[in-house]
Amino acid sequence: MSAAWAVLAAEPSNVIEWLQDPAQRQGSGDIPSQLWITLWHSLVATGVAVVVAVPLALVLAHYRKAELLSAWVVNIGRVIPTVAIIGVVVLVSLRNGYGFEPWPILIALVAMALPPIFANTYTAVRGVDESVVGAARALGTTEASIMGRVELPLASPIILAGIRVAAVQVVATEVIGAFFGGEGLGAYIRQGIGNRDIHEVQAGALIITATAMTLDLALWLFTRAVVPKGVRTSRRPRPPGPTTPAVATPATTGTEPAVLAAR
Amino acid sequence: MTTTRTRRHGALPLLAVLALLLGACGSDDDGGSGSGGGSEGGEASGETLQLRPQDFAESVTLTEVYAQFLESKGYDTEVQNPDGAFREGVYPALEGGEADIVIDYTGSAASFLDPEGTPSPDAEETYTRLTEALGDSLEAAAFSPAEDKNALVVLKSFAEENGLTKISDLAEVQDQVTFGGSAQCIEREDCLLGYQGDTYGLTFADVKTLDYGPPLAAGLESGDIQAAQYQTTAPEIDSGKFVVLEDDKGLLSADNVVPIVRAEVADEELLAALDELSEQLTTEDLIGWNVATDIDKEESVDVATAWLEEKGLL
Repeated sequence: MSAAWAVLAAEPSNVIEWLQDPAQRQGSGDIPSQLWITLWHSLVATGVAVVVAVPLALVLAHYRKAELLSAWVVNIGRVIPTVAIIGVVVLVSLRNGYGFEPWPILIALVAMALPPIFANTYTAVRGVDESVVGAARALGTTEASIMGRVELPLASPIILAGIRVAAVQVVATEVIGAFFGGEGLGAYIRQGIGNRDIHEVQAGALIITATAMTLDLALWLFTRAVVPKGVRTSRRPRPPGPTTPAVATPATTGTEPAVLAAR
Repeated sequence: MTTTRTRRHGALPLLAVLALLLGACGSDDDGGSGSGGGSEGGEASGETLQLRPQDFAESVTLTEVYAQFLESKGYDTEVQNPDGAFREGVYPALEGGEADIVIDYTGSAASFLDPEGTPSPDAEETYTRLTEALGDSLEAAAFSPAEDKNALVVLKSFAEENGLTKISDLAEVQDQVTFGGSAQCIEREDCLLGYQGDTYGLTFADVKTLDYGPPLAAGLESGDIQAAQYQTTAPEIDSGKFVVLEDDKGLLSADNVVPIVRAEVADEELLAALDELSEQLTTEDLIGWNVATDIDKEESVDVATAWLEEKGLL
């Protein structure tokens, strides 16, 4: 507790000094290489989670299957702490000859990214206006086409919001890899705590936050670029009351056949 | 409507959390006490000796052993809750009068109190360095032969294959050695910097940073790490799977068990009682306790009582 206050109370000028003085990063490595490790871990983990969760949730939601199962899977994934997952996986990995890196951190991060992506995709597809799907079916569109060309584009704002949430959490959580024999931006937190260097911890936290926020911004721009115009929700006023992306209703005003270019 | 409900809803859990916190704080004073008698009054009143361990099993067991021994000598003692703190929490408590006795280790304590000093592998020199660093408000009893010092360990099979008995032998195989050590170790002169720098001049193939714990042991056994920084009292050393390489160039500081007492309470009688116990402790005892607490999951209090009874000290 007192350590946390000390971190908050330290002078920012010393953090800037730390950032400007590479000699202080003796035990923790230079920033570009650690940033690169964190980024590739995060992108691969989020990518794998997208490839697994989006198609699965799309098909399940389309056929209205596994309503309970999906809620259950999502909750399980949220309940198990990522630190516990990597702690177990790293031992299994070592005993089976896969080493410290990168499997344990990737598995832990994928497990963490799956729930929000799965939940958002399932809820969004489930919430696509029945009459739109019915109209497509009446025109003789195949079920696969309905999923890919009607439901997916209409649900895309919420699916992408889920991916954004997941990606930001993944970057922030990748830090734990450095505590289990790995490297990455978490090395600054690890070395700072281990050697009681508050400025290193602060600087590390700043770098990680900046990385997560930059990725968030990039994904937001990506979302704007790929979501079909008619489906965009961003300009419409939100309904009053608490809303989370997972339960928001997807906009279904776009009636023109829209095709999602990506994926 | 919605906001009112949310607010009212939010207040209840908050109250519950506060109540829990208050409850936890209140119980701290007697939480860590295993030695019975005289636990009323959380402050050091001069009547009850307050012993404060650091937050790891060996420190708690050691503190329990000293507390129970002092009880048998007629003192009232209380073992405080370490509250997740190490030296950075223990020494302010000692200097502020909240704690009276801390059972520490000579080399680590000296380095904490006087980071500029030069570590020495010699026990006497290290003790002198400690007493000089303590100042007037604290006093050290005599140090014990029991020692928990840093040690470089390798897998027994790796040592046998390559004929390794001392640290400088690693030079022959350094290009196949990945070193594993804690975040502190890799930035310290008496650890990785000393192995790689002036003292031993080794060049390890790779360095993995991770704290002492199951992944470090698993890494050694799987061959992802060949040499790791351990303590001489680690329970794994008792398992026979690892061997400690001899520190042939005297890099690693001596680190003998030593009671540090607040000067105000440190009279001849108390110091003599502490010395009587200290001289009977051995490094093997510490390993035995750690096996009991870390592997067999026994409580420190019980381990301490059992050891004292076995030695006929209660």
